[in-house]
Amino acid sequence: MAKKPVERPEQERSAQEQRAVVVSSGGAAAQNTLRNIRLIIGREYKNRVTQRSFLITSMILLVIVFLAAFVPTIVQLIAARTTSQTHVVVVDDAGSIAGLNEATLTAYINSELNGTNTGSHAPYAITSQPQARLRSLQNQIKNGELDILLVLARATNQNLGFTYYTNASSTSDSNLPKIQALAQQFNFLDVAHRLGLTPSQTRSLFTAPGFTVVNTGQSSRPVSEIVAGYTLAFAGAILVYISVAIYASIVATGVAEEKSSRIMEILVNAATPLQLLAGKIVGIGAACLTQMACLVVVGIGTRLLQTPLQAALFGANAGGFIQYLTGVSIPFYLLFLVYFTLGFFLYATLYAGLGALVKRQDEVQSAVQVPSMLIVAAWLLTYLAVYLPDATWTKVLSYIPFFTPTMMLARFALGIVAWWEIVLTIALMLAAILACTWFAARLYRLGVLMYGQRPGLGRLLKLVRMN
Amino acid sequence: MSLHVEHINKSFGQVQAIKDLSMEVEEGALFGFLGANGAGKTTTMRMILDLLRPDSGQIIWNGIAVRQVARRSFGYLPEERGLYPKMEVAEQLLFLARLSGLSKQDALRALDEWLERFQISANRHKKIEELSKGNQQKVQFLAAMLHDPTILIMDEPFSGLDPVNATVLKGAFLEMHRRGKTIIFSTHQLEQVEELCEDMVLINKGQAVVQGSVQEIKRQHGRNVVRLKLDNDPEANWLDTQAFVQVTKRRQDYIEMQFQANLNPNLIVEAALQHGGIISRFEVVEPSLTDIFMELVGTTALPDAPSALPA
Repeated sequence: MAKKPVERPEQERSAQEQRAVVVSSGGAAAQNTLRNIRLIIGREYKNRVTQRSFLITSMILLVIVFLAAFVPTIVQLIAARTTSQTHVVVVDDAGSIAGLNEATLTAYINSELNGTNTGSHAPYAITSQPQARLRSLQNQIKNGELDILLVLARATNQNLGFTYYTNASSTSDSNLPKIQALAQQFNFLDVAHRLGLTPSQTRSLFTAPGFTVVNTGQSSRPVSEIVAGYTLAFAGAILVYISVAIYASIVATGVAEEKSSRIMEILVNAATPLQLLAGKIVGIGAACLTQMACLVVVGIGTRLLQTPLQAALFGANAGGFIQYLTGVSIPFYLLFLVYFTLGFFLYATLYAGLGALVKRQDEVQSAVQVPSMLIVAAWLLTYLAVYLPDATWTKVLSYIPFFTPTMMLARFALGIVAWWEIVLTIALMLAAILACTWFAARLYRLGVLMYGQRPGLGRLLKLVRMN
Repeated sequence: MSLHVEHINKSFGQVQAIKDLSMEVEEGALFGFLGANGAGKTTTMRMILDLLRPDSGQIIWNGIAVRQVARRSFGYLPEERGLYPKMEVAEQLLFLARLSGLSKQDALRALDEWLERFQISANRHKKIEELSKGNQQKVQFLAAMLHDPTILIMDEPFSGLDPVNATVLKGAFLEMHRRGKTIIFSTHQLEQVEELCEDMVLINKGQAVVQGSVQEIKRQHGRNVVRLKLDNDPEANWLDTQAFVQVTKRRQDYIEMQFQANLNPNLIVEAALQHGGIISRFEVVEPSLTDIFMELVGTTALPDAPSALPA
């Protein structure tokens, strides 16, 4: 026997750990598969749901969702309060315009700017003042007592000229375009009158031509629905991205935690690696789904609350945009749930398998780099896709299981998805999940008793293939 | 009916961890599993538990390959202790017992009985991380045996325990033995092996070096130890020239030496008297496993616990 120095026991141990300790699969423990998986799911669910961090996060998210649903109403409320009527004073120095002057002029302007709103609901309060008071009116504008002063005058060539006095900053003045349009109209009327056209002839000039839009592409949808679609596409993509990223990494951390607390040694004795894997993923998935379901329910509930609330506050003037969000189709929510669940399982299996390779929880982040980059890529691609929904590459990419949840959801919200595409992508995702489960099970068997250095990607793949 | 480990081999990559290991454990025996750190004890235990499969050879329990034996029959106390830190005691033990195959009612009943016995009933609803180390060890112990396994495999069950808790666990140990369970345990506290075990095996570098009953092994491999003190000749250098003894230690209170097992220790007395020594102390000490261990395993391993060394 060769002479050996006294070796430190730790060195011996780490040398031994470098070798791949692959836990056996099958055997007697597989007899109780369903029962064991059920037990593990129960434990995982209970453990996760009673964790203080989980409860606190859920509370915070619930509050955020609840408040966020009220935001549109609050915004409208503020807008309604602060935007009291805009006071417009018209000084007519141009004499009669197309037969309108003084009271009739003011009435015409009133009907143009206010439409059918009358009384205190009308956005604009229009009065007329004589030219003599111009100086004092200008001062009133300067010190904010008056919102808008409009002075009509005639130039030497009889053309109308308008001077618009206001205290608002040029970038945020929403009234200017309206007054400009009004001025345009007046000019038109005036010129037509001076040319000698009768009022009915002038009216015929104003009549818009027939203009029909035929959308041969997709079904025609109202603009507000399309805008709502964009919002949903982004919101849906973000939600799927964030929740899958967070929940899947919870799975990985849970696996690493079991390894670092060493309970893994006893667990693999009582249950097979596959049972542990499945139980963990489904258990944590169920807990996360519970959290998500609560958020969705509260979100929808509060949203639905907005309709009667807004009706009570604003009468018939409730914002149309919000209506479309609340009335969003049931299929969208269903599809969201389906894709979210599938996305979670796909990423969670990979995360769990990779999480089994580390020995401390702080190593989890670096172990799961590859799938987390995929999630980020999925999100970014979805952003691009929303701006180019009809591009071929968008379609192709949305079939790749890793990108499907975010991209298909976005495409669906934009209304450009055929039903068979949905079926196809779901089938592809299921197949991908099975493949990843097989791979993750291999990684799990490899890693659960491995406490040494994590092998690099090349060696890892070789080990997986060998065993 | 017993556990037969037959010619198992196990390699990890290039390194062969277990070489042609065979051993036999009688049913109901208290079996000591000795070896240096890294000798292959944990690997062998994992193969008995069917966590790993040997490359060749087989392990059979009561005529059935261990692969087919129900999980419930095995109880495992791993060397690296581990439990869910944030889970309550009762809940966790229940979970593990049911995972091993026990029904809920049986598990609850066993739980009550053993928590009472270990005097930790008050801690039922405490989280593991809130318990003292001794109590954690007790829970770990329970996790291994709550589901009433037939074979208990324990990797250093008494390490890190204070004498009070060690006694409680030893009581449980012996209770299991009384109930007819087969117990295989590894330890570095060799005095415990002498105290508790009937049979043992010593493995080194993946091979069985010696196995059999403890008494037999001590008789065959042990060297008898004599402690001698001469008042007028503390060094007694003449001992170094004697063929039948080998001085191992020179202390103030005695000189310790080893001599062949079949020799009559009176020869030493005669030699001492011949050299005109005044004997104030003469003691024949039983052969110790520690010495056997050291001799067979060499200097690559150091046993724990100073109490194992003869003082």
